Amino acid sequence: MRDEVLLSVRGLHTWFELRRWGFVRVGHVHAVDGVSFDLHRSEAVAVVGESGSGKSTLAKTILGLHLPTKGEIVFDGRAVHGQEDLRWYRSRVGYVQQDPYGALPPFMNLQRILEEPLAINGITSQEERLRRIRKVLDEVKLTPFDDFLPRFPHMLSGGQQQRLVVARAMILEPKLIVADEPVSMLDASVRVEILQLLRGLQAKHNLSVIYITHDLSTVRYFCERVFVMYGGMIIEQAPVGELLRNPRHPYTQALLAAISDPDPENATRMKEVPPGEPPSLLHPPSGCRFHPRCPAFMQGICEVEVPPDFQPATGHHVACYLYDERRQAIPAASSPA
Amino acid sequence: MPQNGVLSVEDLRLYFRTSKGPVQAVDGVTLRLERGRTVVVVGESGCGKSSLARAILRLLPRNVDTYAGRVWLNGVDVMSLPEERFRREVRWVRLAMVPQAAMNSLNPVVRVGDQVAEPLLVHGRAASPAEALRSAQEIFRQVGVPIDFLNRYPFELSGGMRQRVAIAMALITVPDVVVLDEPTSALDVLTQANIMNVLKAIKRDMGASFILITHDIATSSELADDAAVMYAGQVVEVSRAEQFYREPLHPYSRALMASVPTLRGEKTLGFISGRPPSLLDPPKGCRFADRCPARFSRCSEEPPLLKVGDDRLVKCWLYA
Amino acid sequence: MSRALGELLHYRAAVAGLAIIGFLLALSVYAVLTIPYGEAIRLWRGGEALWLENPRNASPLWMSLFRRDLPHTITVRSQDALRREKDLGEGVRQVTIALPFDYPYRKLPQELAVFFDVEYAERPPHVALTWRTPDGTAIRLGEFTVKTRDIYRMSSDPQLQQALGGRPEEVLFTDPQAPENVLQGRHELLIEGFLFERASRLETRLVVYGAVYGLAGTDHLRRDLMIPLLWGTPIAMAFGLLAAVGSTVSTLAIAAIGVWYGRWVDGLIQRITEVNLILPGLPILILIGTLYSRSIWVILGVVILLGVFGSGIKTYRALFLQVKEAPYIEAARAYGAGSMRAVFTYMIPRAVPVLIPQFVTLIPAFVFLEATLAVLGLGDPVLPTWGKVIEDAYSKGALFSGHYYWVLQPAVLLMLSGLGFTMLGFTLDRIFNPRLREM
Repeated sequence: MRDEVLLSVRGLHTWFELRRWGFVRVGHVHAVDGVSFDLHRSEAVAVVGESGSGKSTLAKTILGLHLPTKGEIVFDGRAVHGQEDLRWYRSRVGYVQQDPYGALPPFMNLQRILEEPLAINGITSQEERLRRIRKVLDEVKLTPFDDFLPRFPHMLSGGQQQRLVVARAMILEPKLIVADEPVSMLDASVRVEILQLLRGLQAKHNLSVIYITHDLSTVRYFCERVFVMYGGMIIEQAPVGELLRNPRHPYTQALLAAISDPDPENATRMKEVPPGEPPSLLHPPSGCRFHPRCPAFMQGICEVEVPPDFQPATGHHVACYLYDERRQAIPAASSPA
Repeated sequence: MPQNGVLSVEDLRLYFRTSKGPVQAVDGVTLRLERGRTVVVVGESGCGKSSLARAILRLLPRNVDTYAGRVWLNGVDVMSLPEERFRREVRWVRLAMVPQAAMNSLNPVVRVGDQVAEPLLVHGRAASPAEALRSAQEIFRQVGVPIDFLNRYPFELSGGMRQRVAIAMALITVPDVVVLDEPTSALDVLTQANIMNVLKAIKRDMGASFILITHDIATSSELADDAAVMYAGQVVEVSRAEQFYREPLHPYSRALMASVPTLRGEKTLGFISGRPPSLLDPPKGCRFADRCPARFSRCSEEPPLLKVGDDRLVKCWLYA
Repeated sequence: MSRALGELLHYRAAVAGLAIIGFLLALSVYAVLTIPYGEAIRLWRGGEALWLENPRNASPLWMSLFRRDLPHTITVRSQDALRREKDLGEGVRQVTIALPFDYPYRKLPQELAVFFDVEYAERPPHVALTWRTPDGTAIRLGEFTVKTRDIYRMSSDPQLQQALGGRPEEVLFTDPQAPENVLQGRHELLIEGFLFERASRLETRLVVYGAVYGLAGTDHLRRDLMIPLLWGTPIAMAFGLLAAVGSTVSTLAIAAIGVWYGRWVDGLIQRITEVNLILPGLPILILIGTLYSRSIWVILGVVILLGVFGSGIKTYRALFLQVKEAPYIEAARAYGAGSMRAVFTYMIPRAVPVLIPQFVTLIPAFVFLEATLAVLGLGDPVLPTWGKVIEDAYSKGALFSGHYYWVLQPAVLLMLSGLGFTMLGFTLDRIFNPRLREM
C-alpha cells in the first residue's frame, strides 16, 4: 500500500500573468516552473524553500486554488484538472494554513466552521454532521465538545485555533493533507504539539501529507522525504536522513549551513552565506536558477539549460550538473557538523 | 551596582490601561548590559518583550497606567529626564531601536539614503545634509548595502536589504545601546544568516552593545553573550550564553529549550501544555506554576530572582 | 449582538438617540392606530367641508405660554339653547332661538360664522339675526333665506361690514366709547326664523372663531396640523427605512459580487458607479417629479435606484478587497465552496460592522430628501407629510404673518429624527469599529 502512488505531478508550471493598467501584458511570474514528483499513500513529504521559491504556489496549485499553466496532476488515478467540477477532489484533500486566526471566519462559531465543509459536500443529515464533528474534535483534542462548539475563534488560543483548522481539514476524511507552514505563526512551545498531532493523525489514518515549510529543523521530526525548492523548481529530493547527512545541491548545503541550532559557539563565528538574493520569478535566470549565487558555478554549463534530475544515490535526486555522471565532477558535499 | 555596565534596568514596570483594567505588560524587569556585549531577551508571544523594548526607549502609547522603575545609561538615570530632554539627548542618540518588522515601516515616499541620514539631521549631529549623507554612505558600507542604493526607494529593495537599512538607521548616530526587536523573524533563512553576520561584524568592529529581543532561541545564539528569559511580563532567568544554551535552569527555560527542533544531533522534542497567564490579572505566586512539571507547595508564593553560582539568576524556588 | 446592545447603553448619546427614535416610533404607532390611513387621507384631502368649524391659521395651545390670553373658539348650538316656537297658522311657525355665550377674552375673535342646518320640502325658512352685546345694545345683522346647509360668514359679508362700519368681530366686540377695550361678558345672538312647512326644521350653530386650536394649530385650510405631523412620522420613518434598506442591501451585494468576480465585472460596476456618482441626484428627482409623477412610491424607487450605485460601492469594495484575501476564504475554496457561497456566507458578514452604523446614519438623509422634495413642491400630492406642511407654510408666507409654529413644528420633528438616528449611528460606529473608540 505504501508504494502506491496517490498523487502524481508531472511537469507542473503555474505562471501568473502580470498586467499593467489592467490589460497590458508585461510578462509572467514563473511561480512554479517545472515540478514533477510522486507522492505515495501514507507518505509524509516536506517541501522546503524560502519565500519566492514557489512552495506556497505549488501547494495551492495542488489544492486546486490555482489553475496550472502547464503539466498535470493525477490523484488516485484521476486527472485533476480535466473536468470543471473539482468537488470530488476537494473533499479528498485537506488544507491546513499558516495563519490559524485568519483561516477561521471570525463571525462563525466552531460548530458552524466545522459544518461548512460538510454542508458544501452534501452531508445534510444533522446526525451525521454531529457525529463527524465530534469525531474530529476528539482527534484534535478540543474537548469537551459542548464547551468548544459554541465558541468563536477569538476565544481560542493560537494552538487551539490551529487544531481547529486541522479538524476542519480532516472532517471530510481526506486522503491527502497539504499543510502550508502550519506552525510558523505559533509559539515555539506550541509548535511541537501541532506537529505531533499531525504526525499522529497521519499514522492513524494513513494519510499522505505535504508539509510546506522554510524551517528545515522541523522536517526531521515529521517527514520521510524532503523536496527542496528554489526558483520555482525542485532542485533536490531525498529521504530526510540522507538529505541532512549528505546534501548534494550547493543551495541545500548553504541552507543547512545557515540554520542555527541553539549553540553558544555560534556567536564566535561568521556563517558562510551565498551572496545575492532569491531569483526574480518574473525574469528568472537562464538555466539553473541558482547559478548567479552558486560557489560551484561552471561557466558554459550551468547557465545554459535547466539541469535535469540526476541520481547520485538511490532515491536521492539532484538537479545540478555537478552530479552529471558524464562529467565525472566530484560532488562538493559538506554536511553540517 | 546599577552604575556598572552601559545600560542598567531596575524594576521596570509598564502597565497599560484598557477597558478591562490594567495590563501588566512589563512587571518588574531588572537587566544589565555590559559594554560591547549582547543580551538576548527570549520569550514567546505575550510575554512582554516588545513592551520591554518600548519601555526602555520610552516609546509609550497614550494608555499608560503605570510607568516606573529606573533606567541607567552610562551611569546616568535617564528615567528621571523630562520627555523633551530624553528625546533630544537620549533616544536615538545614545539609545536606538530597530523595531519589529522595521523593514515594513520605512517611509515609502522618502529615499532610503535620506531616511538613514535623518536621525543625524534631527539631532544636529551633522553639519549639513551632505555630511549626513556621507555618514549614511559609511554606515551602508558597514551593513552591506551597496552605495548606489542611497537613492532608491524602499519598495525597490528586497526584505533583507530593507532590514539592513533599518539597522543602519539605528546605528548612524553611533548609540551606546541598540535594542533590536525581532530583527530577523520575517526573513528567509539565508537572509537571516546574512543579517546575523552583519550584526556580528558591527559588534566586532564598532563594539556595539545590543539588546536582542526574539522568540527564536536558535537564532539568538548567534549573537548572545548573555541571555534573559521572559515569561508573563517578568524575567525568570538570566545567564551567560554558554550556560544558558547548554543547560537552562528555570523549568520554563528548560521546556522552551526542549521545544526547539535541532538540525544536528538527536533530540526528542517536548512542548508545554496550557497557555501563558493573562497579563490583565496575573496569578499570585509563581506565574509559571500551573504549567510547571516541578511545581510544589512553595510556588504559591512569588519567588524572587535567586542567585545561582557566580552570575546566574533564576526566579524559581527550586534554587533557593 | 446582545453584548453590543449592553455596550451601547454605556454611551449617553446612544441612549438619547434610542429615546428619540423610540419616541418617533411610538408617535408613528399612535398615528396609525388612532387615525387609520384611509381616514387620514380623507381628512387631509377632504376639502374645506370637513374643517369648517376650525379657525384658520390658529396657533397651537402651547403658544399660550408665550402669548397671553389667546381666545379659544366658542361654539353655541341651538340644540342646547333656548327656543320658542309660535304657531302662526297655515303651517307657518315662528321660531326664536337665543344663542348666548360668555366672552372672557381680552383679544378679539378671529372670525364669526353662523351655521344653519335646515330641512324643508319646497319653501326654505327665513331668518333674521340680531346681536346683543353685554352692555345691552342690540344690533340688527340682517335677514335672509336659508338653504339646506348654509353658512353665514359674518366676517366675510361686505354688506354687514358696510352696515356696521367695520369688521363684525371688531365692531361687535369692542366698546364704541373705548375702542381698545374688548367687550367681555355675555353676548347673545338672537335668531328669529319663520318655518313655512309643518315638517321643516331649523337648527343653527354660532361659531366665534378663536385664535388657538389643538396641540399643533391649524393651517390655511383650517386643517388640524396634528394630522400631518402625526402621520408624517410613520411616512418619514418608512421612507427613510425603506430607502436605506433598499440601497444599502443592493450596494453591498453588488460590491461583493464585483470584488469576487473581478476583472471586467468589477470594472463595469466601478464605471457605472462613477457615472452615477456624477449624476446630480436632486435635479433628477425634480425632473421626475415635475414631468412624470410625484407619487411617493415612484420617488422612493428612483431614490433607491440612484442610491444603489452610490459611494457605498467604493467603500465596501475597499473592504471586500481586503476580505477576499483572507486565508479563510482560500480555505473555503479549498473545501469546495462555490462563488455564491463565498460571497454571501463568507464575505458579506464581514461588512456588517461597517454596514450597521452607516445604515442607521443614512436613514435621516432620506427623510430629509423627501422633505426637501416636498418643500420644492414635488412632494406626494396625497400624503400628509412634514415637508408638505413646510411647503404650505412657505407658500402662504407663514413667517411673515407671524405663524412661526407652522414652520417650527415640522422642522423640529425633522431635526429630531436627524438627531436621533445620527446619535445612534455614530455610537454604533464607535462600538463596531473600535479603533475610533477612546481609551
